[in-house]
Amino acid sequence: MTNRDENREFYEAVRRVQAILGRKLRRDEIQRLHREITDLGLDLEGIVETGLSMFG
Amino acid sequence: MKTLATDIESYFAGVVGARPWRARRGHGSFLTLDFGKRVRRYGHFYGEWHLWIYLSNWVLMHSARRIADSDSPHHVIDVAVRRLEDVALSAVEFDPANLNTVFEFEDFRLEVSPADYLDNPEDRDSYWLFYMPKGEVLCLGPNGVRVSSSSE
Repeated sequence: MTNRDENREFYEAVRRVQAILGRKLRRDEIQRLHREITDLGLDLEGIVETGLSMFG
Repeated sequence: MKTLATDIESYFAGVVGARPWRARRGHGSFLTLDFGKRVRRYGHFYGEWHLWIYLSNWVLMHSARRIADSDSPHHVIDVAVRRLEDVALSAVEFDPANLNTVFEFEDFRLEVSPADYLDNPEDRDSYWLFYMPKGEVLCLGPNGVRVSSSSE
């Protein structure tokens, strides 16, 4: 997976979390999600699950 | 409420002359740089000034030498970006015509341009964000630089 793929993966995860929650994530929430998943090596589903566990 | 920012260099005045105490690669090729006091929030430490290079392509130059870019292997980015912890942010230049930003750190230059891998970026998407004290955030997106609350 390239860096671009990983970047798009996080971007897509944010969109999916927003769609499931039915609201936009705030900028501080997106920052927190990024901090939380950094270095964990999660895939798209893992990032979405983390986002939902944080903000759902 | 969003405000269009015109003189973006002025927003960085509080950190020009300061070294980031942490300069790291995040997910993929995202970069984070923390300045100022360490603030603990939600179990993690952040700088009271926090720069996040988010949906961007970037190149890191040392003098005339390209030492890493956003397509480099992780180990190359990790080592190259950490070098910024030893140098102070000396200037920020923004070109509104092409939305390119240059962050100068003494003899290093971090050249940041909008990501070319997003199909339809939205107004809320950000190429970089600069979180500031008092909950304000300066964001560069497809429609330019704006200041808003980080809670928006």
